[in-house]
Amino acid sequence: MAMEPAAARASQGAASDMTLLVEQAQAGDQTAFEALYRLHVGRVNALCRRMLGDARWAEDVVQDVFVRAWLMLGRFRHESAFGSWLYRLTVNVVLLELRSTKRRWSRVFTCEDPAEFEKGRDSAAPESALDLEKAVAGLPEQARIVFVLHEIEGYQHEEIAEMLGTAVGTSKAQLHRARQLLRKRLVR
Amino acid sequence: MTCGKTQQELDDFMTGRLVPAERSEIERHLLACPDCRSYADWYRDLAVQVAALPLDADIEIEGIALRI
Repeated sequence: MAMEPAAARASQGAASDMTLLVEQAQAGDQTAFEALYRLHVGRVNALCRRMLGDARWAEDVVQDVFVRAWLMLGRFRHESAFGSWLYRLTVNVVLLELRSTKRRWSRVFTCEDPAEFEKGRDSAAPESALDLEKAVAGLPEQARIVFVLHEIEGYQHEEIAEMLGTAVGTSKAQLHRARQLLRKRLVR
Repeated sequence: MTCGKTQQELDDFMTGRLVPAERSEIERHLLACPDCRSYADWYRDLAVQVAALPLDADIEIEGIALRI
């Protein structure tokens, strides 16, 4: 459906405001970067939290994302929306974090063994966002990452495979695994 | 077409990314398999729930902003 003229003008205005903010930040304007930060930090935090399955760990990584964004802003060419660039950067930072640290082994939310996952099953009604968030957080790492990127963030399997350095079929298999585990967790 | 393959391809099936022959295979399997129909119904409901999840998560902005 086509937007109303006023809505279209507002949308164009918002886009040009964002472009201006990004250009100012690229020129070194820290106030402009702080404005970008405030606009996007909630979404970046949600993405980190869901990929990592751990809210506190996510907060550390959010900080890292924005430090890297500040350092790499000069490379942003305005060929995509700034948000898309930032969220893709976020995915890369989270994946680097997961690869470069052993912290995941000491984290309580993740479990690689589906049998362990099953132990958390209860008979509570599944139809709430909180139940779903908890169930996603409890998925094994690879299944969780693919589920978040595909189902929540809307990336295609081809893109996810490229990000993870795996085959498209592996991404599909992990998504299927995630759904099966979620179904066992959420359905009475 | 197996149950596992059908369930794995459901996403592409629902979003129209399969070629006609693959689509027909899955349609035939869904008609014949109550387990996979149940799975497909659940997956459709899950997609609705996922779409309703908030895209933002609250965070202490000032604390992190100061650190940056």
